[in-house]
Amino acid sequence: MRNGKTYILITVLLLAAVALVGVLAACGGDEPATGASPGTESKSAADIAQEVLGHEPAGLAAEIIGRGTVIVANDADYPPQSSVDKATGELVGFDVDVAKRMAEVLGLQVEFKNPAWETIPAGLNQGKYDVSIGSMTVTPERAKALDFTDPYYYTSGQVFVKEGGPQITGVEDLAGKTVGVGAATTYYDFLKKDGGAKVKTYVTDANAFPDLANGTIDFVMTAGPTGQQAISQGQPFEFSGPPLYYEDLCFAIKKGEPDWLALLNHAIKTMHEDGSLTAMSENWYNGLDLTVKE
Amino acid sequence: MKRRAGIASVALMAALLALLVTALTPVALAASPSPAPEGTPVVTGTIPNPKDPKGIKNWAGDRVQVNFKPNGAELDLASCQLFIDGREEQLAKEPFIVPAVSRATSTLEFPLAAKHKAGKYAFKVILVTTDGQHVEYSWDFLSEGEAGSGSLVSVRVMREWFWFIAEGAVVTVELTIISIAFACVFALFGSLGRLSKKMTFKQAWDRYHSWGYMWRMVVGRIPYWVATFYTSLFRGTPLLLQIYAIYMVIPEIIRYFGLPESYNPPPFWAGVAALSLNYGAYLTEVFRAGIQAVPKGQNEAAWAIGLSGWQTQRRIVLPQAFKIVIPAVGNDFIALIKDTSLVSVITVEELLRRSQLAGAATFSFFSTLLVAAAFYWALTIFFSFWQAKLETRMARDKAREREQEKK
Repeated sequence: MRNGKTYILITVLLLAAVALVGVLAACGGDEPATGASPGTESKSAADIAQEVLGHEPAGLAAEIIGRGTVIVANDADYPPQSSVDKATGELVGFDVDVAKRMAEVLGLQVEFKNPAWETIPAGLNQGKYDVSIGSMTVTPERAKALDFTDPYYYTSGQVFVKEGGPQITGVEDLAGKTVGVGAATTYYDFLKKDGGAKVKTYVTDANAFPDLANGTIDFVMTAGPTGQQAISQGQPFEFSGPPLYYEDLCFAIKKGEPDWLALLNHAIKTMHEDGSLTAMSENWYNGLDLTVKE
Repeated sequence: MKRRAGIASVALMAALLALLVTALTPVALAASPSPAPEGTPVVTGTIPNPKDPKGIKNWAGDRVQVNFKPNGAELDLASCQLFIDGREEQLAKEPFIVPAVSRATSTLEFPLAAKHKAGKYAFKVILVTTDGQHVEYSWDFLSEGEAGSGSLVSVRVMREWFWFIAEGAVVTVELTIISIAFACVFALFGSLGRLSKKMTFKQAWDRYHSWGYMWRMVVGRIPYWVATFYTSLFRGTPLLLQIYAIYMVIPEIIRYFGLPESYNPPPFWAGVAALSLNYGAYLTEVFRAGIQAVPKGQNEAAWAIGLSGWQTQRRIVLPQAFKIVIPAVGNDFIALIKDTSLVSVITVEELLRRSQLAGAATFSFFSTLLVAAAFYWALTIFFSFWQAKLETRMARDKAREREQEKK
């Protein structure tokens, strides 16, 4: 009899343990569950593509689905969009999460490549990467070389100044001043075209900030969130005036791949609709939702 | 025994079943936030941000920012309040709306009158709209280390990113050792080529007056010309240019010939190619000088005992030349350690690039560059030490000779 009791006790304890694990799993599942669209995960990439396109995927799309992995190009020097996590050495950031979620929607695995920003367009066309998810703005110049998806979020072209520095009211106020920008960015094109500003280029936007802090340059123009990130880490900068403009940020792919473009647009639409883009944006930008057009 | 096992397996089955049920139970989705009523702002995030996914636990301590969705509401800025640890905070001036980064979210900033040190704080804000609505939002924040990066060097950043940068040092050492090995091979052939010229054409013509001999001499002169062209080209153009050229031009050539892209050189090997070709050119001259420094009598003696040309080089001249060039090669080796940093421009994640990445993530470039500098310095000290050891060992015969002279 005593034996029997022991076994009942063991069973009850086991059940309790299992239940506890289950509860913990459910609790832990709360956060990432935001915007999980039920149904897509169980289907294969080929099924999803068939459903979205209404026909067998062709070209690059077929190649990626056959491979099961999408190769994403991403600039790791650009927090909080993407940067390196010190502990794991892996990429983290808004663009990284968007890439992962995009792959999830399309039923694919994701692999990151981390080239220099200026080399990404060439790499896309050479077939080194399938898609660039790197907060790229559409410019007429780039549109000649690449195809762009629908925008997945929107950022401001914003001017930053050292704390206590002048507040600008428009691009005219930059005339004659030295402004630091990342090389091959839209800010560079904008300043070259629209103002008498002396433009100084850096390999990546983040490298312009030390010069601003040191007083070598008068302003830095970059994406609003990038500057805000620097400020939130205690850097002595502030916004100078309102945003000069807002720009659409898109995924970029090799030219002439309509099926792959359609699949990516489907992923972006899904992420906009199920709220996962908003959730990722609020997560990475201290509660700012950058995914709304108006 | 049997019954025991039976009950145990029943228990196990029950446990598995329970696990299965819990696994299949749809995870309760967080209720999608019901749209707040028109006219009520909703706070979506703050700075300092306790939920910052990057886990950056510092706070400048001189301002608090609240991001919110206005939902059509207008804030009565003068009435908005900030409480820290339950006390209403003294502000430097009225809270104000900072230029928006987002079209959907607004940012309200409270500039604090006094700067707060690192520590644990409980925050509460009350947003007041123009039609009298009150929205309360509270959060805790534990700020670690120095609040803000007002200080030039952040020990915390250096500590946290140390191992990340250390991995770059491994790549730097790999680059250096592989490149110097290839460079020595290039230099060996380069120096032999440079030394293959024994006399001028005019001297040869004056001596032999034979067209056949002249023709053989032209063919025999090719190694000299190739080696001279090589050293001239690679010593005459910047190393940085060579790195860019090899990394970017080879793929163009591959594309031109219609070869697959998998033939493109990976950045690491493009870097090794550029470094070893460049250093090979410099070492060519070093080796040449080393070979020429071997006394001529050694060559003549080797010839006298009937060694062939190649045997003479391999057994007599090169071993002695090797000893002579060690200091110069060691010098170039040290220089190469530092020149590997140039490869960072083609995305090889060696020391310098790693420290730049760390700097970009923390906006604390000076700290991360200091770590990289320490690594470079340590590496050069380490290798110079072993170079000195090697020199002493190679000079054993000289030491012995001196000993004997004394006796």
